[in-house]
Amino acid sequence: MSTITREIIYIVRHRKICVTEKMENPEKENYEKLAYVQRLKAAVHYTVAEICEERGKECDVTFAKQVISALSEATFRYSQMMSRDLELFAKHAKRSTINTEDVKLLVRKSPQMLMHIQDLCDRREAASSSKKQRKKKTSRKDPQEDEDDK
Amino acid sequence: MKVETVKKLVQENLKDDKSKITADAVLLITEVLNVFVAEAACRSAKQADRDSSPVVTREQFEKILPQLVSFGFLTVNDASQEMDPKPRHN
Repeated sequence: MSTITREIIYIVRHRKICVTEKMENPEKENYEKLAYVQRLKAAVHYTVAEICEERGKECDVTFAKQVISALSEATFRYSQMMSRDLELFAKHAKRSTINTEDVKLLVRKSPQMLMHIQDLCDRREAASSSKKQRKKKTSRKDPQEDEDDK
Repeated sequence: MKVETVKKLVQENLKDDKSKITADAVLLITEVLNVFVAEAACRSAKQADRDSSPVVTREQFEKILPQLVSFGFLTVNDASQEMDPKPRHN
């Protein structure tokens, strides 16, 4: 009984806190989300700049800052679009978890990309299965070793 | 591209709270994004080479953008809908 009442009190208090926070600063949450998105964008920008520099060295060119920011914006939009599509694909397959199959479906339009992704996926699966086998082997070995020790 | 960043990016845009994503899928998306950026960089570098300019400017990037669209990376509709209504300050 006491635990239930405690839980209820906790829920009520928690909700109260949430409500008051929202009442006091209705835009606080919005700002927080915006800041979070900005940080994500900054992370994308950094990586895009890194990749561009790498490719620029190969081709002996440098990238203007405008290009890097435009490309990072495009990448951000692309990731947004991709996540929306993936969610819909998963929903269509009556799943709530996005799978590797969904990603393969997403990139089906460019054959080389599909091949690349398929290859990566196969390799990863092979690695995970070999790991599992190793685990099984080790788990089988362990008791024997214990017996040997005895 | 860091896997953690991509995971956050995707989770940020999921509309349904119930939807989740497997670790392998995140890895594949990371690879797709990496290839996308590398492809765009290579194409614009090549374009700069053709224009005999040592620096890739917005001009070259604008030239290769439709190629990215045609390869199904980006959609025209999406870009025009979400385009910033603010005037550009050059």
